[in-house]
Amino acid sequence: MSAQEKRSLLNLVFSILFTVVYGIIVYIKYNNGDFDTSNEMRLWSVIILIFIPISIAARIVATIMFSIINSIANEIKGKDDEDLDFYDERDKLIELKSTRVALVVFSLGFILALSTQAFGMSVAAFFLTMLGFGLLSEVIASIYIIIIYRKGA
Amino acid sequence: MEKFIINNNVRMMRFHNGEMTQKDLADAVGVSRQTIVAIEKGKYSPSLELCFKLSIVFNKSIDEIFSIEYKK
Repeated sequence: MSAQEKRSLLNLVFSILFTVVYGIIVYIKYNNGDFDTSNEMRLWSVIILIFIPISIAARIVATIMFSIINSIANEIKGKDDEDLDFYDERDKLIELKSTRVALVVFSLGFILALSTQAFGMSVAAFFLTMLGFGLLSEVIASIYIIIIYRKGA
Repeated sequence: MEKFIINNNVRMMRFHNGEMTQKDLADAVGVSRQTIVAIEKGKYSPSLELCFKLSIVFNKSIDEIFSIEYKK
């Protein structure tokens, strides 16, 4: 498996794992009554505003740890060290294509999220749709990248 | 304009440059080995900048490395 495929796989696993763990923590806290539920809009905004910086920080830590583990594994196997942060023109092109795919999926999610409000559904439905499609767009983009690298295109 | 495909002689050029490995060529032009593999398979058309880098490494003109073939 190439460094690029490993990077995409790490991104895929991390996105799913982190969102699920964060979702479980929020769900437990919600059930314990740790949140002020009088203003649902404010509650969901706070949940998402906390999610964004924690997600970025956790992603940086995960990438650093994975790079260290990958270097150690390559050292043990006696392989040439592959730089996970190395980007060339083809990587940038593939990333651009995957970003386009992610954007289409997320835009679809945004339209669906707006539809939930148009049909009078709860604020929770709006934010859950947004979060769900945010995760889905990342998953699809990562899978798309892995498929392109596997095909060798 | 007629449709065409871009062919290349990168594999042959490597052979004529002392059996240069894909990794050596990748390091020389500043891309990953996977990019060289994709170019050799004809699945990726490199940028003009990369074409020039390849021509410098092989000491050949771009049209000696890359050629077009019209589709019938």
